[in-house]
Amino acid sequence: MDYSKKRHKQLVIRSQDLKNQGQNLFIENPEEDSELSKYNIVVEEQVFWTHRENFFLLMKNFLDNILDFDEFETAFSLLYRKTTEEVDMFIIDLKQIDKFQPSLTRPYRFASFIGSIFRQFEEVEDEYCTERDVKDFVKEVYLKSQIFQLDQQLALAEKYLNFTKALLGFTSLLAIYQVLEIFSWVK
Amino acid sequence: MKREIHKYPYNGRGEDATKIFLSDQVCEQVVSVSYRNGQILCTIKDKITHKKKEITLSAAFIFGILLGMPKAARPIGVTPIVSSASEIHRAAPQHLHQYKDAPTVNPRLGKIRFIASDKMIPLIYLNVEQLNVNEETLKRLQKLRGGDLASNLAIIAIGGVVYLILLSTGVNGFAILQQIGKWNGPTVDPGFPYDVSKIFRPKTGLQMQKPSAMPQQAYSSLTKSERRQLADPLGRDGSIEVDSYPRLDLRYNQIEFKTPKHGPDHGLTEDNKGRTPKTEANAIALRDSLINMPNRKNIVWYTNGQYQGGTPRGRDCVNLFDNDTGVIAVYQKEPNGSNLFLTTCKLTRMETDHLKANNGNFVTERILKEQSAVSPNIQNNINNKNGLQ
Repeated sequence: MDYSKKRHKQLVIRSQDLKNQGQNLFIENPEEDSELSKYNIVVEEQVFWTHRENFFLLMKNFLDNILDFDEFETAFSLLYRKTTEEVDMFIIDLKQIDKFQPSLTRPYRFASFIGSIFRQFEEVEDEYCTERDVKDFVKEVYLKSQIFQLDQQLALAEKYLNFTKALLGFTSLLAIYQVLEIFSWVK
Repeated sequence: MKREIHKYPYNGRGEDATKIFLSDQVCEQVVSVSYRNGQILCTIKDKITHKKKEITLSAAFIFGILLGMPKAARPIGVTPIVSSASEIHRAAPQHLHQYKDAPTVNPRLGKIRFIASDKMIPLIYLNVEQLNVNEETLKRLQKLRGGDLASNLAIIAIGGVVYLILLSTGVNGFAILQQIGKWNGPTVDPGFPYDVSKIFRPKTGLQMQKPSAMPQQAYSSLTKSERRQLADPLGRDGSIEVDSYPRLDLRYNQIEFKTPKHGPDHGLTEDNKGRTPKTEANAIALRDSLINMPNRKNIVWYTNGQYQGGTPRGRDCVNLFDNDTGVIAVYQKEPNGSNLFLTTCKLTRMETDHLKANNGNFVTERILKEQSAVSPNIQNNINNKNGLQ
């Protein structure tokens, strides 16, 4: 999607105006509501990503059997709810939206994976899946996230390497030039 | 290194010969033992560890008590030696077991500097390899898990001595234990005519009850979820009747089941685990909040909605969605035409997007991810009516 800050702010202002009048954007204009929903998903993704280390820590402790299922569910749900509240505040705060820089390069939606884990706790309670299934899914999400982070670090390392190579090449050329200068002076 | 071991005032007779029996293991560590004026003096090798010292000293202490018992030492028929009042009331020396190298926790050794006993308890169950703890804390954890050998042996030995003393004075220790056992809980006279299990079974208003008209066999064949959808015998069920919309029924047991996880979505109080306590009052508060939902502004009725539609678990539902809070209430359509409350929760943004774009089909996030049901293209879901009636 092409992110437009101007359009994003327009939609937020419109939604808030309607809310102040006791109305709702979805009921008044479903098309605009759907468009705003996409922007909100981008914001949500960014906020969840900033809290990723906390989610990773919980997932790792669960996978390493330091936390049992109940402890993991409690800690994860609390963190999930706290992050969701932060998103709810963010999406109506025009000052924050003004500073907002979305990252559209991630190949997957982190927040969606987290939401999936959260929703599975109820599935366990309803006996549609087991604690083992949840653990397997958490493992999948954790590994995927770690591989993605590793890729990011590798990409960053490659950038530094390319920069160093370029610097080295430039320095070498400079050295050759200096040597030639000396030779010409000797002659 | 010399240590004095004497606990009780004793009328010793100078250099009386005293036999002291020590095990081979203890003997290796003791250079010499002497008995003088009611005191046992042990000379112990310096190189032994404090644990072995503890065993040695404990053994010497026990032997001291056994051998120093006046009753055993005094021959029958001999005039008893009466102690002077000052000797009887003389305070016992207080320098027993004064180890210079007693185990202490160094408060500067690691990240966990000192752990209070109550906070230690959860750590017992943790995998110590995963914890960044110092050696002393590790020892304390191991001690909590199994106890150390020296202290356990000392306790067993002291217990044995006490039991021997009780026997020697004619007290039946097992009779005491039997007496204590009676204090643990109520015991039933074999002649008592009623079934005890029925008398002591706790009965609360929160327990799911079988309707009186339903045969036990039919009740037993129901699944847990089916039982929760039975009418409440105590009349705590609710219903929603709004003109031009289908009637919705809320079974108390199903609401109570959903209270801990979804009470917070309806603004109910929550505990430190983020859950609403499963009390009757909270279940009724959630029921009332659900009944009040149609009265809120910006509520959308999806009379032909679905829950997990398009999956093997899909079912037809009537869904009520609050646009302001993002909370949904799902009512499953039953074959008999009724609509029974199934669940309620706050939707994620992706779930909301899908619900609105698919005429009220509530599909959970995990399934949406697997099916890629929502396109990331911002333009895709614009041209629809979002299931508005």
